[in-house]
Amino acid sequence: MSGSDTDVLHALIGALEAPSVKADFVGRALERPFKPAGGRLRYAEFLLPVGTLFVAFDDAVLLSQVGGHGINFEGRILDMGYQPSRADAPAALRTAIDALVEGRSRFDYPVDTGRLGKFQRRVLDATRAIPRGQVRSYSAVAVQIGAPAAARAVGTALARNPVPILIPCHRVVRTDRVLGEYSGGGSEVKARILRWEGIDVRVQRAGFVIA
Amino acid sequence: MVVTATAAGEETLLEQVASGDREAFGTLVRPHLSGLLAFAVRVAPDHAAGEDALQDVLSQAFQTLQRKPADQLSQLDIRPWLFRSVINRLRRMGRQRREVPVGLSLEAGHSPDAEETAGRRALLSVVDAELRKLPRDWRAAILLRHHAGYPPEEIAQILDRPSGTIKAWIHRGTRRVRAALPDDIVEGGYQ
Repeated sequence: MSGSDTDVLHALIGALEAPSVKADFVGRALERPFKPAGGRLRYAEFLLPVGTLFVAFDDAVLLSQVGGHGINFEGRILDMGYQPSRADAPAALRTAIDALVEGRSRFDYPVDTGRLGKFQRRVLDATRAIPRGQVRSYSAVAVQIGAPAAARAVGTALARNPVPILIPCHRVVRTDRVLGEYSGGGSEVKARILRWEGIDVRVQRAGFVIA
Repeated sequence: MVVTATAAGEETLLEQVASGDREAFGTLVRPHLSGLLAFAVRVAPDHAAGEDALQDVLSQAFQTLQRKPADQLSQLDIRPWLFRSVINRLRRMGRQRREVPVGLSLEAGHSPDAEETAGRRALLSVVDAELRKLPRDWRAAILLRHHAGYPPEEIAQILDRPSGTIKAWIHRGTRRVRAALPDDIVEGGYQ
């Protein structure tokens, strides 16, 4: 597709009609009772050197986010159908996160992966076992879960990791040691987290590369 | 193009909204409604579902904003936050019921522009129909790029997918739409 074609499409799509908004649109919206189907879901914040870690939990962890604002995290909880509620983390969760960020062990607390597909669960299980200070390639993870041809699908599964940091998807990089994408804020955030974990990450023409 | 409130004005409004002021909420979101609705009705399976999703999002946003400390409010960029809430709600609806693609539900000539030629309207309706044939998230990315005017990096934040993926969706999706259009169109369509 040529550059001028792109311009044509840009102009056409930009000109698509915006439906008229009725005067009482917002008023009617606010009359709606808002009842999250799933009840309350608690979340806690942990201050890490790479940014705030938000963690939503009941008896397992359902969602996490590194960096960004609490209001966005609450929005994601609402989108899951729960009412967010700021709370203190139970001692066991705090202990598990301390051990993880200090590199003493993998995240030793239940993670609710029930809503995920089987393939994604296998990818996340394998990723969970990668120790702090080490990285694996997408294809190495693919081989490990017995799907050697699925390196790309491994990337997609990790891009949708609901619990970044806790399941360390940032420790999976490209075979050529270029960091690759990180849905938690791009390869720059991925670089910051890996550096914090003691990995030597350099900036090169190809992007962030592990030395 | 929508006129957006200035950042400072938006901040004051956010404080009023946080204290439960419905009027202030209306003033805060009104500049973005047309763009959000254009997005929602095209990304949703049909027009009604899109309107429904946006109303849910607004109701939810009003609740959320009332429970916010001031420091978080000042950091909130309302427009991308609302786009993000819309796509997330539509994704959840998509999981709850099978998405049945329906034909174009925006009626042609719904709000006719006197300067718009019939040829151009026809062209736009083809573009609309072709967008409908794309996967939902591709369509969302293309609309955020070309209709709402966001750069790929911000779309990545809104859709919660890597920016490389977003660029690929926009590129491939736009190419498919282009392929369905006549070769000889020029910018602005048949004018």
